[in-house]
Amino acid sequence: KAALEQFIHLPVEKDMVAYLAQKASTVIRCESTPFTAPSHLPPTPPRTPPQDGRPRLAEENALPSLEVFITSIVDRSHVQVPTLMSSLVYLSRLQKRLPPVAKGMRCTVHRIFLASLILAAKNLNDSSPKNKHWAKYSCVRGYDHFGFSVTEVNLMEKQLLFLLDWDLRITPEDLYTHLEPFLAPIRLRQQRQQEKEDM
Amino acid sequence: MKDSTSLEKAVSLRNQCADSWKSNQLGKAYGVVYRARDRNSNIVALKQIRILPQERQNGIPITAIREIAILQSLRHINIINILDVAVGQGSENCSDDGSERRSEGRGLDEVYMVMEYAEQVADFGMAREYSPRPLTPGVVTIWYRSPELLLGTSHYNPSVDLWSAGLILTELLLCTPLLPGDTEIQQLALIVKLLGTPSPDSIAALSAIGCPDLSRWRREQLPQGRVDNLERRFLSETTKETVRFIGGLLKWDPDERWTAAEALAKGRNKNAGEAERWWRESPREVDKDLLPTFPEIRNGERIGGEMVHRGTDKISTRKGKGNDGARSAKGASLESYVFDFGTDQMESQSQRVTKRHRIR
Repeated sequence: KAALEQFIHLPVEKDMVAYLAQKASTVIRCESTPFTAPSHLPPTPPRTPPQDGRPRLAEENALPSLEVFITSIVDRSHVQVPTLMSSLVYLSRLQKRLPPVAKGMRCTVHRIFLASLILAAKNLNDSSPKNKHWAKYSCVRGYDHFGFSVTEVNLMEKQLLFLLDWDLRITPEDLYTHLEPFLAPIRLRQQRQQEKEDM
Repeated sequence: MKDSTSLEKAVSLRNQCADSWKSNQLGKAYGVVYRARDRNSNIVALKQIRILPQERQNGIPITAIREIAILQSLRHINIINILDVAVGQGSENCSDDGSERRSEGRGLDEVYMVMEYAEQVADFGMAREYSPRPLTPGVVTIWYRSPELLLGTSHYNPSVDLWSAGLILTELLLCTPLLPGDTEIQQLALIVKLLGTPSPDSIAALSAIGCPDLSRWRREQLPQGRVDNLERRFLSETTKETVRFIGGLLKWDPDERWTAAEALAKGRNKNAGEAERWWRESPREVDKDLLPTFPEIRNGERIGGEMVHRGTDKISTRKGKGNDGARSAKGASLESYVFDFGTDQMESQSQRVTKRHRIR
């Protein structure tokens, strides 16, 4: 508990983003996860089905990796550690509810992460950025054709709520479980400090 | 036409939630609440939160998200259980105002909450979990807002809810709101009229928790030497123990106010003891099923001088622009209340009661 208390006051660090990106990428299998294969030349771009209606070859190639995407959103939205890391709870909750065969599009994980973050922000804070702001935050510098519209953001929010059955409760136990990789070292440090003081 | 509306609604909802259909409008604050029947023929309450076109860019309202999360985490016999949630697309003629919205209504999102149907606390639209840090001021409907909130503090705690509870108790006794102010200053003036000028100790306590508007209010608005009228106001209505109970909740100083536990007579201190005497006094609590039920007052409509309540099984057929109809109906129905607050107050109070409908 003391470790959690200390953790929530930390600034957002690189390792947190990396961990989030790694966790998010395991929620669902995507056509090609940019997290594991960042800059490989795509041999033959997958044929976009005609019903999709917008074969965007150039844009598809310019998909930022999850880490880049999350870092950019954190920068733009100034989201704090408690909100950011609470989205972990929703990510894993979603993973449990999705069938293991579920498969997503290339940017599905990006969408899932953004939706989790939005719901965490709305649930935990008295006031939260509006979805139109989140849409703006979803743009990443250097990836001109990437970014979500308000309509897309609204849709991903609604879909995630549906998939989570509107269950946005977060218990202390949830946090202890999902933040353990970060809490353990803090706890260790606190223990050592305590021992020093006791001596 | 309204019948086809409910049918349509049933069809669109069947896909997503408990197959409810609207059958009677029950109340209307931030959302509309309907009495409905689920597919097992159980009566449920259906709360509809409409997302206005100008709010679409915000996504699902933060208040709806938190209300649902809080209702899900609370399990208590006096708090309503939430059974299901669904997001629907509003079709054009499911809005109350019929043809008014026909053009723009298409595609509006609506959030539906399916809830148990019972007399329980059901509205958690502004609820939040308490944490001991600065919180947003300006919460709570102004009539039920405690002094420290009216004076702009962001260092408040659950005692603000006990203040509100005290006022609700008085409203149950009087069948009308006790302190229906329009502005913070007016609300504070009403409180002074009821409880008298706050004591120096109370002022010091309010000042200690940090009320930004306190010194200006003292300088410019606070009348000196007003006496406490609470007992005078209520002894004709109720027992001495009840007045004492209300007085325990309506304290200027939040720390002096009874806590929820004390008000429930849990514990051994003086306040809990006084509360205990109130709970023991007759009439005692009654089982919920033995209580009489009343039609929702806001559903009443005055036609030809008579109060007409919308039938429980028929859907409202009233049409009109916005709330005009509802407003006049409310105004009319409240004129019949009797105020015995002394003549001058009586006038100003009944004025305010009519006024409140204008601010809605």
